[in-house]
Amino acid sequence: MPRVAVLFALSLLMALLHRVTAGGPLEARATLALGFLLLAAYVGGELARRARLPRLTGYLLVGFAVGPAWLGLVRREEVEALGLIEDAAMALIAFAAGAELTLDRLRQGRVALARLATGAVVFPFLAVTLVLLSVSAWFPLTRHQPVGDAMVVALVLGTLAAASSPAVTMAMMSELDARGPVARALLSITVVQDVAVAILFTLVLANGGLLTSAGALNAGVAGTATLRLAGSVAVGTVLGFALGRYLGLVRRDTGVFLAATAFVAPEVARLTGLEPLIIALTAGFYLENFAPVEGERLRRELKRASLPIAVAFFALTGAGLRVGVLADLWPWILLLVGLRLVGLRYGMLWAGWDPRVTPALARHGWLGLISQAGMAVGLAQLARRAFPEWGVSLETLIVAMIGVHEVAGPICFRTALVRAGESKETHDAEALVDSGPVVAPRDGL
Amino acid sequence: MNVSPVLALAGLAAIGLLVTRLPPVRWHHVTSVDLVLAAGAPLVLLGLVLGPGIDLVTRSVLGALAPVTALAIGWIGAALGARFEWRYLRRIGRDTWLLAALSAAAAFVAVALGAWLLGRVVPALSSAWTPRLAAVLTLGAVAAASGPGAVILVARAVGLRMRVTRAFSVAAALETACGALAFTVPLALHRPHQLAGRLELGWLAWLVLAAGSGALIGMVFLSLTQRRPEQTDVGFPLLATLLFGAGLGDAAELSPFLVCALATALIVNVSPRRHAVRRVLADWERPIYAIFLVIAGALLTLPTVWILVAVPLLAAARAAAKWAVVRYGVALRLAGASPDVGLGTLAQGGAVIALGLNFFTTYGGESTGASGGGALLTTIVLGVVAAQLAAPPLMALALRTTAASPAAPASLTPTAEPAEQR
Repeated sequence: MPRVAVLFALSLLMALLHRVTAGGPLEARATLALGFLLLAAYVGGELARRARLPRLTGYLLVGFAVGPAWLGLVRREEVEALGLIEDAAMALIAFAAGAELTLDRLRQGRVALARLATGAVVFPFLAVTLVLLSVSAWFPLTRHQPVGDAMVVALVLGTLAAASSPAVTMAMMSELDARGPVARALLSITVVQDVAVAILFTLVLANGGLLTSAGALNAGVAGTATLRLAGSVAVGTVLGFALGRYLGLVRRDTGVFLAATAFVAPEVARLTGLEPLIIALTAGFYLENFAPVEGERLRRELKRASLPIAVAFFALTGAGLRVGVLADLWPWILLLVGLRLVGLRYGMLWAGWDPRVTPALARHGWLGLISQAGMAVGLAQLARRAFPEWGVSLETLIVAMIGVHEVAGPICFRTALVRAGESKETHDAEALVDSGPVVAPRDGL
Repeated sequence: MNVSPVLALAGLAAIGLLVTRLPPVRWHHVTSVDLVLAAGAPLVLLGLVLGPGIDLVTRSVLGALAPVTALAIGWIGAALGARFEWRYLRRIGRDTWLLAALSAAAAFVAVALGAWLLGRVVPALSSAWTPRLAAVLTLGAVAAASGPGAVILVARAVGLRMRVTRAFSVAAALETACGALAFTVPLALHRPHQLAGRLELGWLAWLVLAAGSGALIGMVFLSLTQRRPEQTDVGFPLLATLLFGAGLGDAAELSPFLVCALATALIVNVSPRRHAVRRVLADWERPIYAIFLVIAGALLTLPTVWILVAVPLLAAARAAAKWAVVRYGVALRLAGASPDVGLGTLAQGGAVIALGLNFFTTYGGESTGASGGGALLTTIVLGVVAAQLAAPPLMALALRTTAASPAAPASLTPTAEPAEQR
């Protein structure tokens, strides 16, 4: 109850300050908004923990509640002005996710991982694509489109259904202190999924011109997507290499290098049109596998800052959720979300036919793959550019779906780990963040 | 798409790696230069290269980093505020208070007067330091401030005893508080002080509002941390509270430095977690200070070379005023200190640059249309460098004549010294 009172008092205070500072500079108001979001989300996280929900869900829901979509205590332009901070937080989470993937572990479980990732990509892709094709005559985006255009829309939505979020997975692993085989396998699957989806998306756009009517598709975006993926991996490798060398030369001030990583990845991505998530993932992966001592130093520092990073990312994500389209399209979104879940469920069950995939993963793994975030949003933006006529509507629909997955994802992830017996419930959330092992045990899937 | 800053960054990183392969160059170590390097001059230079140099950190990026800038200013203010715990303050003698206040006031008057005169004589300076009155008063205020951490660093470099070092550090903290208080005058002069678009604030109302905001922010932290287990980490609540306070200071055109300093002063006097708060402030100060210096470096501009002439003149005026007032004060039997002890608190550090950056965000931002913030910040940063360079020999001079060091009051903080000293 005292926490609810604190949240209420904070909201009242912010409502007052919101009016008082209305004429202030945008950057200053954005700073105030970020401070308020962090405080409110922190309290929201504690309330969520008492309700036996993931704290991340609390951060997201409080961000959403106080954001422009509902109470409006934080304005839309303030959330947009905080884009670099959100990207920096996401880059650090992705960096941590990349650092969890070791070549040894991937080699050991490569067959099982390949099968799991195939199930997690192909089944949702097929489920969403085929059902959408069959109902394209009624689907709002394709109702008045030729069959070829409808087919490409179905393929794009199917592709995006196969995407997942390594960032959310990593954040949940940190929160639950989960470093068991199921958690680590889920993280590996999400990374492979994202890479596979980026390739699949490029293929769909590159070949979509054969199906669509004239002018419906800007096929050049396919080339952009390819360059984006390859460029992101290249830049991430260079960043990882440079970080490793500099950390080897400078034995202190690791926190400064962490801040540099947080800033350089999104800023370089912004200037070059690359994908910050892939850059950071690759940098973390490179550092962990080719400069493990330096990587460990950076991870230790990252662990110290994990709570502010997670709260900032999820509160800002919550505040930026655009779910207005849900009011009009909720039956369709429900259908697409349901199809994706069914696809994931059966995809993982199919993967479980292989004896190298553990029953726990086969039965409950799909629950850990529901989250979507950065990569899917980036592809949605590309989809908007690829389809000049109805790209905006498509992006709005995809972003609303991502919002649903973002809220549901952490809850389902926690359920998956609880069912798999890998979640360490604790009464002191901070203790969890502070006391977990820095290095995960290294065995297979 | 603009890849040239990215290529330039990659080139810089490659050059940096190649340089480390060269055979090490032996040079004669000079204490003053070593101190300037240790205080973070390379980070300011890095900011200069990343900002005006290769355009990676542009104005729009700095705008997006405004929360980080405000947090850094607030954090440095909080580190100062955390020194003012009543049970330590009351042990400080009246003479120490009086000497610090006199020293700060003398530096304020001498530098403000000097800056005003320089502006009259050199029109280029007058147009660089705009708005004129606020800029002159800010230069005076930052001259009044010292750097407790920087003073400790210099004292260690010249081999002072712990007791004397502590005395200088306390005096520096008091002078910095005086400087921060003096800084409220130019901030309060800022015209667009209109709350909710209607109510225009006078200086006193502004000051009351700033103090009230500080108290409010302190209470937010207290409400978040009360009735929690002793081992609960206070790091995140403190960070979020200070960011909120810095945002309030920025958005309401108060001062992030002042609001956070007042909030932390309240926290360390009321909260049972005061030691944990100080520890968190010290733990995170170094990375925050590093980022802050890079941002400050990216904002530097040199609209006229006269700034390079003005800086040593103003630094000399400051040193002379501090020396003279203590000598005069001693003559009046204000304290049993050496006549030259006023030279002991010349060194400046992060707090002064934070005040300069605070001036920039208030007056020099794009929203105000003024251009003087960058030039004034450059003057202040160069002034800090000058103070750091001059501090070791002058402190040694002060010591040579210090038969009896100033009465050593209790330390204002029981914790490790802040990162700004490094």
